[in-house]
Amino acid sequence: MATSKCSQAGQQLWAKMPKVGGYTRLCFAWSVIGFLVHTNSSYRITHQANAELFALTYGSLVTELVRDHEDPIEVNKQLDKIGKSIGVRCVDEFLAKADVAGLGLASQCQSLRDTAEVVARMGFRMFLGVGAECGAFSQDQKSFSIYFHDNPLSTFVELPPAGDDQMGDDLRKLKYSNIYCGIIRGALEQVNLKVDVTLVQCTLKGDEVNEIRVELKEVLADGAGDDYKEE
Amino acid sequence: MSRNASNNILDRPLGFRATPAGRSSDVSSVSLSAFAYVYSELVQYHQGRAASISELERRLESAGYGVGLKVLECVAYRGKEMKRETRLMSILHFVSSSVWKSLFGKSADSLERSIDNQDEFMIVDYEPITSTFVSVPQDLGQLSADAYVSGIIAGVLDGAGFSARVTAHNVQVEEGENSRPPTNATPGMPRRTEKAVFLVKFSPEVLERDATLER
Amino acid sequence: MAAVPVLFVIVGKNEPLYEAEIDTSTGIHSSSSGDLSTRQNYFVLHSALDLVEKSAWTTNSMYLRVVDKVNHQQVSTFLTAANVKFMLLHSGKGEEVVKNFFNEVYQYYVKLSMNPFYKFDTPISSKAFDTRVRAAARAYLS
Repeated sequence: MATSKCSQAGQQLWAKMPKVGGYTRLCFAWSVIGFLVHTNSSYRITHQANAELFALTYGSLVTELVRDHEDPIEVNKQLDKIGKSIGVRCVDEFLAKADVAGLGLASQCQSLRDTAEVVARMGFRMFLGVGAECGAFSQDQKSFSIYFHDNPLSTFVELPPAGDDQMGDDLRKLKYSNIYCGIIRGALEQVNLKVDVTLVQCTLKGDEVNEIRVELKEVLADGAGDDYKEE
Repeated sequence: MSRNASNNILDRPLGFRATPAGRSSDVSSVSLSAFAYVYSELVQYHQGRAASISELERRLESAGYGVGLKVLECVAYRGKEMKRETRLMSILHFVSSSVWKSLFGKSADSLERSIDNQDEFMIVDYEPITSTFVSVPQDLGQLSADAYVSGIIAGVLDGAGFSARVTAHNVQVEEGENSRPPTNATPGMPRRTEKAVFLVKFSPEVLERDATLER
Repeated sequence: MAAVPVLFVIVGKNEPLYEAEIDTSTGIHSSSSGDLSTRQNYFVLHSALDLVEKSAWTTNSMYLRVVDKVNHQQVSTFLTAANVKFMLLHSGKGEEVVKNFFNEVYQYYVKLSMNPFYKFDTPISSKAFDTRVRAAARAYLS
């Protein structure tokens, strides 16, 4: 049952291929990914910024949000929104860089599984210089998790303890790195994949690993993503 | 490298990030675009809340100031000499070399004393610092980087006890002035014709104190 | 005979940011807080502040050594790059020992201050910081 559903979904995706250019471009053949994983040195960041200035600048943004919005849930929403605006913009650069790196953009698009691999293995390394893995695919292959240990956003962060009057509200509900969710959501929407993204585990809260859950909601018709751009 | 080490930030070497089993990794850079995206969102966020350009500048300076205070302790701690900067010239050198390196990966190109005003100093950089801040809308790019970096410098100086007003200026590079080959420029791009000048104007008490120490 | 507790405070521009009275043999908070001797201790530290301000600009070392002595008690001081004052009231520990203690606390302080949620010159409420300062006091000052 599950298999047939899966292959059905696969066929549907396959049929959409010629129409959805962006999606095709984002998907790479397994062999290419395999090659990458073995020689990820080809993904060394070329133009660099200091990781500490990066972490401090993001910290400045988050603390500003915390000051302006008392409710940490609202801060999480804002971070997600900010992330989306980044995600929408970073897709083109991502594709261009992959091109420059000589990765012929394979036309054989596989599935959401490939997209997951590309986001986790290449996206994180290309932009943040850290490795990430994907896994925990659901049976219907419509959701998966991205796992990473090393989080450049939170290098210096320790969340204030509950009831710390300095920061006013209880920051236990704050998802410090929630911007990732928006970025992934925005980037995938540009290639016509409408997804829900949630930060489900976070090392700042004592979890062993950072985990981002991505759930495919809908494969959009081509052009839907473009509307967003003009918004 | 102990397997049982706690992952609390206080137990990791400074700037090292938590990784599994208590190991920590020192990854000192991210891609320039990752920084630029986050920075540009910081600017846009403040822009959305500022009623005027001058308020936006003030907000970014203030954000930079907080970062500067952190950078001061961090860079001093890394210096491992356990010393503070107590003299005017030494804090300026600290800013134009150590702090600059930690923020931009290189020292500033020069440090000059103003000819006209004894309380003014200039930190000069021929390479576009603003390139670190790309992807901000053009008109805001310059303004925001100027305000943010000025704020950082002011934070470092004020924290160390040298309160100063820091402003950024773009100055035309004169013919033959900068003979050094660019280290970081994009190949094929024409040489930059403007240099970034950060003007540091110390408060009178700072100059007085330094003059007293001279004796 | 019980060890004499030491008093460690971190002082910002205008107010103390952190304080701990530490029985160096156990590392726990001494039960005697609030009695006369403790108040006297704070008085000694407070009056030493002026001396710290004075010597701050005459040396570029972070470690200022003993800045004041009252009876058998000594006040050692350490200034961070941003002139946050670490002050230790003790009954004559070695200079090197105190220096090592300060260096370790400084390490924790820098890491704490890099946290975006810690604003410069505000009270330090981190439990993790407190635990480590007490452990450092036990390790170096007992």
